Amino acid sequence: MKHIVKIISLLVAISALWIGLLQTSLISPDYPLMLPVYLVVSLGCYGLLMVGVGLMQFPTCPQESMLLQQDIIEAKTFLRQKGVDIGSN
Amino acid sequence: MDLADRVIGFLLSCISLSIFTYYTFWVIILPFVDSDHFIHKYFLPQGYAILIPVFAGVALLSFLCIFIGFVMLKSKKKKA
Amino acid sequence: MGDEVTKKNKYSIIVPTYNERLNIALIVYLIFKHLKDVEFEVIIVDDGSPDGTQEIVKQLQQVYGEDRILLRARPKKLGLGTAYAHGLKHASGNFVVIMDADLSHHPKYLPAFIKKQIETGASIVTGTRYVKVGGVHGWTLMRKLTSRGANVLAQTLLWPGVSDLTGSFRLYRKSVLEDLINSCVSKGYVFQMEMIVRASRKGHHIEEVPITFVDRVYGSSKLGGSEIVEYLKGLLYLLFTT
Repeated sequence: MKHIVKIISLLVAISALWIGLLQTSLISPDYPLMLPVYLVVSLGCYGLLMVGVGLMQFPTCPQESMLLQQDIIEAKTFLRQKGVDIGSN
Repeated sequence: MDLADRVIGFLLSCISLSIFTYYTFWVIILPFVDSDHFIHKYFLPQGYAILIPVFAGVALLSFLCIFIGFVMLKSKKKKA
Repeated sequence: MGDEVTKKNKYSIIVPTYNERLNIALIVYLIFKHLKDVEFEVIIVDDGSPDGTQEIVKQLQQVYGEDRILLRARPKKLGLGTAYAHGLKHASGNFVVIMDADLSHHPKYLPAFIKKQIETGASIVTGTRYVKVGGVHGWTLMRKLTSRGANVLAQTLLWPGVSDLTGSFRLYRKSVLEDLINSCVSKGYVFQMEMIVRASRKGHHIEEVPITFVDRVYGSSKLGGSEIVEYLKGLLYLLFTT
């Protein structure tokens, strides 16, 4: 099944649930769009939260860059000994 | 540099959480509070709870469309 | 028992290059340093670099042996996806590792990939930058922000079950990669995303290992407007076709 179908059926299920709820008038029908808008806002907030948390916990590795420099020097020394022409810098 | 990035991430999370809490309160809890309660002074009428997000959404979408259109035009020029 | 399994396996490491004269020498040295008791070959797919990458590779062949380093050049720049397909045709191992030549992928993680594959029997082991032991270096705030935003978007829309979709440091079972490469049409790093999403949809067993990603020149990898648009297009494409 194509993924878009999954998402669309999810949306359809939610709207069906919503219409059903409106019919039974369990909730105030003054603003019939209230809950869908609320869902969209929640989704937006969730996205923003995930980006924020992700940014906050973005793992960084400054020590890796130093280790890499050492590896590069080591590799260059070895390659020069073997006569590989890697330039002078 | 790293710390600044983390602070911005923290701010983003805070903003998102406060919007969510405020909006939840506005939409879910407020209808059950008596309309003469003082707390109503801090919230706009319910109708705005739909209008504002819809406007924000439309603004965001049009911004996105303009951005995409702009980028596509620029890349087409580059090819030509 | 682990040792016996290792002996039977052969790993073909495909490295596409374009103007990576110095880096390819460094990366080959590091691969040979970190992969001691594993049977492997390095396949370098060079897209006609004008800077003499191929001469360096020939010198490396003298040092390490022509059966360990294979140069499979192409006349001109033909894109990443076809570079993998080209390298794959010449691969003799039953596992294929794909990595970038610019040293943002460090060969010291190769043993971790191999170990993970043997432990779990996975068809794909992919490197992820978004977990604790992994990480990035040299990314600007903008880069982190777009990368995070793109990731959240893809996770919400596609539910791929993999944390790092656009990373390109991966180990594939050869048959799986052959199958995937034929069904993927995207270009650039959307290609990486398409591969892993399709693999996930086909029900292949995917495992992850943490890797670090070092930009050696601070802020050198840019994510401009056109990349973002390409990414969104790729996302839509995957939404409708997978």
